[in-house]
Amino acid sequence: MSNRVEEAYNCIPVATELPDVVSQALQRGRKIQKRRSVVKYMATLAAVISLVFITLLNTTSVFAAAYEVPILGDICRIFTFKKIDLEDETKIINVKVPNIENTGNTALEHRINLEISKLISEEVENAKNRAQEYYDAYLLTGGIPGEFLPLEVVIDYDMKCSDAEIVSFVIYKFETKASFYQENRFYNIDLESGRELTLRDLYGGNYKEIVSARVREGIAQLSEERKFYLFDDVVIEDLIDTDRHFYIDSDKTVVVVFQKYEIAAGAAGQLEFPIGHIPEHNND
Amino acid sequence: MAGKAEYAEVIPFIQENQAKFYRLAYGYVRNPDTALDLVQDAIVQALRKISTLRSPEYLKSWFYRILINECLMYLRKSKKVVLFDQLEEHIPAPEKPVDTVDALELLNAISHLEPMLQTIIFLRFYEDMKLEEIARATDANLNTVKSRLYKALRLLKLDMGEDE
Repeated sequence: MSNRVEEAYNCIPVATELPDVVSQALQRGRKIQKRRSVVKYMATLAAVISLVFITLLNTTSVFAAAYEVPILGDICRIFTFKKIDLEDETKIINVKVPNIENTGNTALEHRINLEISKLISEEVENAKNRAQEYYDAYLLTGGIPGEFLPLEVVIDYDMKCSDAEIVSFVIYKFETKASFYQENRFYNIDLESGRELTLRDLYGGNYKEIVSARVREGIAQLSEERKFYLFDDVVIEDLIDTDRHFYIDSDKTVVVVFQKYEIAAGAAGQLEFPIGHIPEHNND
Repeated sequence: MAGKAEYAEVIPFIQENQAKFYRLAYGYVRNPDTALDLVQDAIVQALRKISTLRSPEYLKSWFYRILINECLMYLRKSKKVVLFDQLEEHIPAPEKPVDTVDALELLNAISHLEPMLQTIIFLRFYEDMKLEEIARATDANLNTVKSRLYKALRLLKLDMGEDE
């Protein structure tokens, strides 16, 4: 078996760029290492817990269909508008600021892009301050300067769905430090009206029943292992309101998100349940 | 504690085993550029986290743990579905006169396993790691590793219609 697996994997041709890529990576890693060269961290490093911060933006022109189909030259795109990389002894921050374009609604685009930029620069500012606070507290309590483990923050984005009608994407923030903090931010905006979308807009007056029923089906299908972590006293209906977080996936599935600790113990992580294909139209 | 000694050993280890890292990453993502990116990120991460390497004897499982995490995080994030056909495109005929059809078939079968099972097969039979090492590398307990290994083997046999 061993031989055969080896043969199998050896069929994968190694990219010619690999040696270059590896030596570049080693150099990059060395630079970071150098800065902490005298550093001897305790082996049991602070638990690395990722902090998840999600901004979700769903813009859709689906409701415009009843009036007038907006002329869109292209499908909405998301791109890296700006990169922010900050590194010193207190922090390592790597941020990508996304912008959207080609939505067919310039005013809305501007507003959303501005909002994203503002949101992220606030996050970066907060992270910088937090890193400084940790660092100061660390020194005050007798920590050795060279041994401080910097706060690491990564903000990145991920396109969920994009076509002529809908754009849905997520902005993630991972924060690595001994403390744990989690925040989700979601925006659902109707491209035509510039209004924020809610589950009620998508599913109408009975949205609570419709969505809860699907969530309960989703829960029933969870593995036994994950079911084990669910809190017993959760009433799903109570959690389905117009503030409920969701996104629209690439196949146009509406996916409802419960963040960590919301309906289950932390070990279950964030739970997502597909509700179904986005309703075609709604004449509200 | 990680000292200079550990650090000095990491560099040659990475250089010598880069092709293996690449193949593991490629097995997950089946795209040369992405595999290169993942190997690169894992190396940078590893050097950054070198202080978490407790002793040189754990070097292999320590590094694989970082690489595997990078790859699985990527898969989770991208949720990319890789089509069966895409695999063969990048694979020219091997030079050696091995039983190539079987090797490719096996590779295909392996890369259609779920990522964690793929990982176990790779570490056990390609990297020749002990089950304890695999447990460390995959952050799982020994029994989990065993049951994953049996499951992977069972699936592979089913997939390949083999009786080995």
